[in-house]
Order: sequence, then structure tokens, then C-alpha cells
Amino acid sequence: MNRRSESDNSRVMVAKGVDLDPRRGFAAEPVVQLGNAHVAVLGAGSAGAAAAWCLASRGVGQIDLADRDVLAPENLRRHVCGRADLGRSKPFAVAEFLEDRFPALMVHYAEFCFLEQSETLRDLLAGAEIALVAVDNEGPKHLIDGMLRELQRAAVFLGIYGGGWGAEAILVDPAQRTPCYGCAALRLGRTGIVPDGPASSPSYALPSPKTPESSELAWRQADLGSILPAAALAARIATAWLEARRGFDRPLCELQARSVTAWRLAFRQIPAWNLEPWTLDFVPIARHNDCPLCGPGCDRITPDEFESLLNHP
Amino acid sequence: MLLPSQTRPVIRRELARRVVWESVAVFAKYPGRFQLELDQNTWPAWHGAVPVEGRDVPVIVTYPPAYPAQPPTLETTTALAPGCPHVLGHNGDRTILCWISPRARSPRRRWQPQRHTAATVMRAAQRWFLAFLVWQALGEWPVPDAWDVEDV
Repeated sequence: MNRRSESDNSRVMVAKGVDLDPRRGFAAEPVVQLGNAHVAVLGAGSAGAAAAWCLASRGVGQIDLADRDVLAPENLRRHVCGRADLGRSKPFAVAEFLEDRFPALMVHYAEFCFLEQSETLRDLLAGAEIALVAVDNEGPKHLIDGMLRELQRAAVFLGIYGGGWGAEAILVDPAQRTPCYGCAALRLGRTGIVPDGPASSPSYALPSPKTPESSELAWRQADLGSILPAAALAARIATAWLEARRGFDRPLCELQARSVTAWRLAFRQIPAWNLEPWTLDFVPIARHNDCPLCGPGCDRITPDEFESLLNHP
Repeated sequence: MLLPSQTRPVIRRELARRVVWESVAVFAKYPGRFQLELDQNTWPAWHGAVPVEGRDVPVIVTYPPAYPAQPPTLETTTALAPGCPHVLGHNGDRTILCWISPRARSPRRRWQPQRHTAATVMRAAQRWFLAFLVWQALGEWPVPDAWDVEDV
């Protein structure tokens, strides 16, 4: 439906006396308290910190923050923390930011590399109801993906791409038997892991055209105009999941229409995604038959087979 | 409050399942050539040999703790000529081989957890040793170095 016909339709409805108040339909909904909810936010960069702020604002009672980085001057342009936090660990600085605004919120923080201390990461995931994953690199996402399946924990993976003109959120919930992150990553065109990747990977940022003044390749990074709505989307999915766990599943059902578990948010017209500016696309994800995590054959593999494999002649 | 950190040097269950899943590819591509063992640091590793120009070259493919977020490491116990390129270092009597571009920009050169397995690394080992033979004969590594390729 184009804009003109939408406008015409609204006029007709007003003429017929139909109530267009957007509050209609929500007034009778229950208020779900999330004070006992526990969320792990993995990655306390600009997107992770904004998502944690959204979660705390919604009333989530406990948030664990984890990241390996410290706040650098180049982060200030888009991070919730400011100059006073330069040089401090990002999760620590974000924890203080949240504690300052939400006195009832219980915030824990951990500063470590997910790939080097995978057991600490596992403990974090095991302790939370759901994780919100806002890390730049693909590697940790695949590690978390495997752990989610083992621990039967859910997660929302957030990614902002193309220099900030597009964002994606993926819900992985092994208990719901959703496709894993790996299957979603293939469907969404994520392009594998760079073992020693640069800070600004090409899929995350956008290469700037070379100029006569500079032959160096520069990367255009997302700004808050994209980071905030993307973080809000991921936080909304996480809180809808938490509400569904507490008996109110309407917001999650709305998001998961047609069993969708991935969403694309376009801030500009994105021809590759066939999306108009400021649209949210519901992307169905299919399991790959030979997926090592969620494929149909995986359930048949038991850990005991590993032991017998070690004794294979 | 700082979260407690624990160390638990055990193989994650989902990693064990993945190794079992990958064993099908390893046994199909290299039947009777590889055996899974627990390596020095209790991490699973495939010990065996790949065929290269009529001879068997011993290789060890080790799963890192963060697997599959990081690709496996490739080592050999074969003595390599001094100055051999594409070597990352030494681990006792083993030489660690550089088999994947560390900063690849092209998706084709990246580690894909959904598609690649230890068998992929074994195939890369074959290619590495073929390139090594060319380097020994001609003094030039026949595959362009990833650092030199502008593949954005």
C-alpha cells in the first residue's frame, strides 16, 4: 500500500468514526514485572551499552555486562559513557552509568576476552535467562551459539552493518528449537570469521571512497542514529521473550509472526535487502540439513560418542 | 561487583558433539589416515598424515578451546628447511603452519564454522605442502600472500 492510499484509508476510517488512538488494544494488557529477570549483555560497546540501558529502563532487575575493551577517545562519539571514563573498562563504566540511573538494578560486570576465557563466558550464559549479544566479530558469536545449545539458553544477536545503514537482530532459543546463529548467519550473508580481524571489519563498516588527499582506505562507522534504534530493537525482542516466559506472550508472538526468528532494520533504502528506508523486515530462517548445531542429525550425536572416537582404531 | 571467574579445563559438551560430527568428514576424506587423540593440553587433535606427491606427511590438527569460533591449528613434525615461509612458530618438535589468511577480507578466505571442518584443514595441509615443494624447487611460494592481495 503506498502512502497516498494509506492516508486515504485513514481519512475514510476517521469519517466512519473509527477510533485511531494507538493506545486501543493495549489498555487491557497486563503489566509484566521484570524485576526478577536476569540478562547477560555481551559486548559493552555503543550498541551493547545502549541495549543495556533499554533493558534497565524496561525494568529488568539484573544485568551482567561483559567486554574486553577499555573506553577509547574514538568511542566517545557514540558511547553512553563520557570523557571521565576514558581508559576504564567498558563494562565497568557502563555498570556505573546504569547504577547511577537505576538504583534498584543489580549490575555485575566482567572484563575478559570471550575467546580466551570461554569458561567464564559459559558461566555468564549459564547464570542468565537470556543473553543480548552485541559484539563486533563473528567468532565469539559462533562460540556463544554452541554454548546456548548446550546450556539451553536463549540469546538475541545484534549486528549493525553497512556503515550503519542496516541492522539485524536474531533470536536463538534452543528450547523453542529455533535455527542456530550459524544457520541465520548464512541466510543473512554473514561472511565467516577473520582469525585476526581488524577492528573495523568490512562487513561492519563501510569503506570510504579514496580521495586525492588520502590513498588510505577509511571506514565509515555507524552513528547513534542507527545504533540507538538497533539496540532498542534487540532489547525489545529480549524483553518480549522475558515477558512470554512470565505468561504474557503477545509481544513475542507479534514479533515472531510466521515463526520468524530474524529481523532486518533498514535506515536507508537497501537494494541488496530489497528494503525501503526505515522498514523492519521479518526474515524467516531455515535450518541447514547438515548444520552441526541445529541440523536434524545433531540430536542423534551423544557426547559418549566422543569418548569412543578417542579409542577409534 | 566483579563476577567470579572459574577455570574448568574440560571439553565442552557441544564441542565434543561437533568433533563427532566432523569425524564423518575426516573419515570420508582421509579413510584410515587420522586418529583423534587428546593432545598435550587435553584438547582434541587429529593425528595422522596427508598424501602429498606420493609420500605421507605427518600433520596434527588441533581444536582450540574456543572452537569453532577460531579455526583449528595445523602442525607438522616434518623437519622443514630453514627460512621456510608461512610458518607461525614452533611447539616442541612441531612446526605450526600458517594455513589461513589471518586478516582475510574476502569471504572466500575466511573460516566458516558452518561449512568448514578439520577435514578442510587437512586439505589445506595438502595444499601447503604442495606449495612447500614448489618453494623448495624454485625458491618461490606459488600462492600469493594474503597480505599482498587487495580483495575488498
